[in-house]
Amino acid sequence: MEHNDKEELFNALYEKYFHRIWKYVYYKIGNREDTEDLCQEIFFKVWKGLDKFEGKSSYYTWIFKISMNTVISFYRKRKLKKFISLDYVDERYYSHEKDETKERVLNKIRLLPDDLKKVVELYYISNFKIIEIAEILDIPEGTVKTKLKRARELLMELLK
Amino acid sequence: MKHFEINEIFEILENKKENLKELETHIKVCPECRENYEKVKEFLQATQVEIPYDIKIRVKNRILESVRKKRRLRLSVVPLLVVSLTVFVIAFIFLISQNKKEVVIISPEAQAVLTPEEVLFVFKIGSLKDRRIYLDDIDITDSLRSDGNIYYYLAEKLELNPGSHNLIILKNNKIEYSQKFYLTSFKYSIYMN
Repeated sequence: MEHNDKEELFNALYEKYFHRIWKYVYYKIGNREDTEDLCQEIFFKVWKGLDKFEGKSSYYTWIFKISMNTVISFYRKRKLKKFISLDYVDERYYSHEKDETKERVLNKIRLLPDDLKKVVELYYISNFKIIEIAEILDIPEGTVKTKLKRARELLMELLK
Repeated sequence: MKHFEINEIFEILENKKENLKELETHIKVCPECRENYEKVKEFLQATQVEIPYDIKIRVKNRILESVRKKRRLRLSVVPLLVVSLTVFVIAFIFLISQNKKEVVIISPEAQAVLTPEEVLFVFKIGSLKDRRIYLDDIDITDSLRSDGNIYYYLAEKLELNPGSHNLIILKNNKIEYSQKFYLTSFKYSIYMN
């Protein structure tokens, strides 16, 4: 791929997905400084991977998987594996940066069963469409809709 | 009174359904739906994260700058590598050709001052084909004795006077090797074995 074509494609992907990826990473990591560094790392990987991208999945699936892996690596590097399994977020980061109401609500998402939680994160945090979530999670669209409905009901119970 | 379902409220507030006015009218008289409405609204607001515009620009600039630096480095290194590789190949070919040079003169050494007894020519020549060897102006090629790929020159029949002498090897009528040496005595003999 010619350098200029690559840069043009990268710019388009960046414009389209940066916001979603940033929100996802920020939700997972909890502080802006690390989120910014990780987003840079993620999109740098995207840049490097563009030449090898074979189109077996859509761009957003590919980029999102890079993001998930980068976040996991981040925690591994910090030896905070327990935060991944429990989806726990370091409160130290949140305490001075986030308002309590917002954090209380987001923590309810973390209490959802894993399969529902993933759908909610992708839908509400990363703003993926139903069809995109189906591709990312490799499940039928109907299943995504069902999980989303169930997750909303559970969330309301948790928020009350 | 018909209540609004949770999913319906979500979809209305996410602008996926158009009956917002109906919902707003309903929650004025229905505490249960009003509570759900407030919670859904709270949830949706909590998931809205605004990203400062400068972060988006800053991150992108850092990535592209890094890419450009690497590219510049690569573009500057590639010609250097090509030149280095070319030099290496030339040097390698030269060394190979040097190694293939089939003439090794053991004695006399270049510019050596010798007594006749010290004169011994040993030519490690793979083949005499296309070569002629001259001692001064005398063609000694046919006087060489061979031992495999090594040729010896026995100079019994050749009387070399004291003084300066030249050994020249021609290959395809071009000088391949040239060496000057000096003899210090009138009488000499060269023996093999």
